[in-house]
Amino acid sequence: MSHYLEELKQLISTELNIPTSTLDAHQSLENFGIDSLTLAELLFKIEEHFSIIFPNFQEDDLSSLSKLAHIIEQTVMKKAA
Amino acid sequence: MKQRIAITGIGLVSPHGGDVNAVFDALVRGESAIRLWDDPDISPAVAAHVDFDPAPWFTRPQLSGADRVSQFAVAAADRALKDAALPEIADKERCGIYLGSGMGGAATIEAAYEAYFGARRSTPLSVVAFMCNAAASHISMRQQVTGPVMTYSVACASSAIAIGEAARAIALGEIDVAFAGGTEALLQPGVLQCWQAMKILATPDSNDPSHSCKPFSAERSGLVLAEGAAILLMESMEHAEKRGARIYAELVGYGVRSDAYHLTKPHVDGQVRAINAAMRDARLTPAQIGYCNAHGTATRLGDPTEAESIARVWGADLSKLRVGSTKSLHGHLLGAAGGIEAAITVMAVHKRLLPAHLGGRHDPDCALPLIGSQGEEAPHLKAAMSNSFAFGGTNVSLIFQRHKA
Repeated sequence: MSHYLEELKQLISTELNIPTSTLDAHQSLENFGIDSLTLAELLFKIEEHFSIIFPNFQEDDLSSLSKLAHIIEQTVMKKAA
Repeated sequence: MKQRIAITGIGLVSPHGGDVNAVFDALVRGESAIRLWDDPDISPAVAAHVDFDPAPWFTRPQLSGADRVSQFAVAAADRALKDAALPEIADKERCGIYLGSGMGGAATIEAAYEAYFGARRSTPLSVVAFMCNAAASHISMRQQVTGPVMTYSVACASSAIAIGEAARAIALGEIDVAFAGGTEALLQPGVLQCWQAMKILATPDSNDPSHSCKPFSAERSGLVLAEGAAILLMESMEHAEKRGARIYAELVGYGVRSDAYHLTKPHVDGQVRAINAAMRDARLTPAQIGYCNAHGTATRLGDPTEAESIARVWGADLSKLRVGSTKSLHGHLLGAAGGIEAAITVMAVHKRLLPAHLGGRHDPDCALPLIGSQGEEAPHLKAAMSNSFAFGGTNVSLIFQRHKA
């Protein structure tokens, strides 16, 4: 498991008060029962945390935590390059 | 039939703390909560901060998008409900929220500008956190209040107006219960600088910074900014008596009148109009009102104007009145000032005890029968008035009377 996924889980756990043990890599971000505004705020905090700006999301980018972790990793790499 | 208004609960988040009895006792003892503002980046200043932990009311995720001003309001509303010993509001559609705030979410506004001029990006929850009505909305969601949820932004008269308008809604029979008062949390460095630029803030007293606000004194140098929230739980007398509630006092008079004169300079005529309107509403004469919690901000122009207004209304009966400005102890809560001062006036009527007034050498241009630096007993007190006069020229007077005097 990438450290990005671990860090992402940790961040979501802190921000949404959800224990990391209950966070599943296949889980969709939209399944936490949060509204669109809270989701926007969470994505903002993820950007702040990793010092990145997300590219425009595609249809299923938020469909699992592992996909989002992958996007974070790619964005960080692109920025470093 | 016009309903009478009972004050049955008080909820505070104040520079003196959150327990209404402890706060009132501290005010009677003349204890000031004004302190030096500890920030090397700004000119010397004093302020009255609130020591506040939102944890009992907000989880970490809930804190996103809830500015300090809304956190104060939610806590104060909860405390008011508990103080009123009202376990549940039976008909939530017949309950309203009437809140005053001068600025809304100042910390969020300041952070948004800082982000804009820095990284040029702002958090998605900025707008909903700083809008002026956010605090009232947060209370409504917490308490599931589905009647009118209103916010009044009338500078320093905001929460006095909120209380008066809540009383009208109850009197007209539109609602039975109201949370009414105000909240303000603008002690941010950028906001402070704007206030300093107006040259109306108090100079810190070099001997005792806690004694920097000196209303009606020849040594006064300006107002002291403060923060906090104060919410009254108001009920129709019928609703309160039916459930056997403890009734602190009745709200019997509300007067709101304007100067139509100047944005910041007060005017005796407008203030007298408001005080007289409240007296007529209360069907009381000046001689029957024993205590006035003055607006008394300790500005150069404001104090003598209010002193003249009070003297004009009371006339020969002025010597029967006791006057004090508790802003000398808790500072100026701006949009929440009318709320906390109404709460203090209610407690004064209830306990027949008057809070102290920290002044100093008396200004002959402010010839008022002032309370001293220790509170006083008022065994015959029947009714009391609280004044709130706003930038913009809106003046409000509220009159509270002992229940079954």
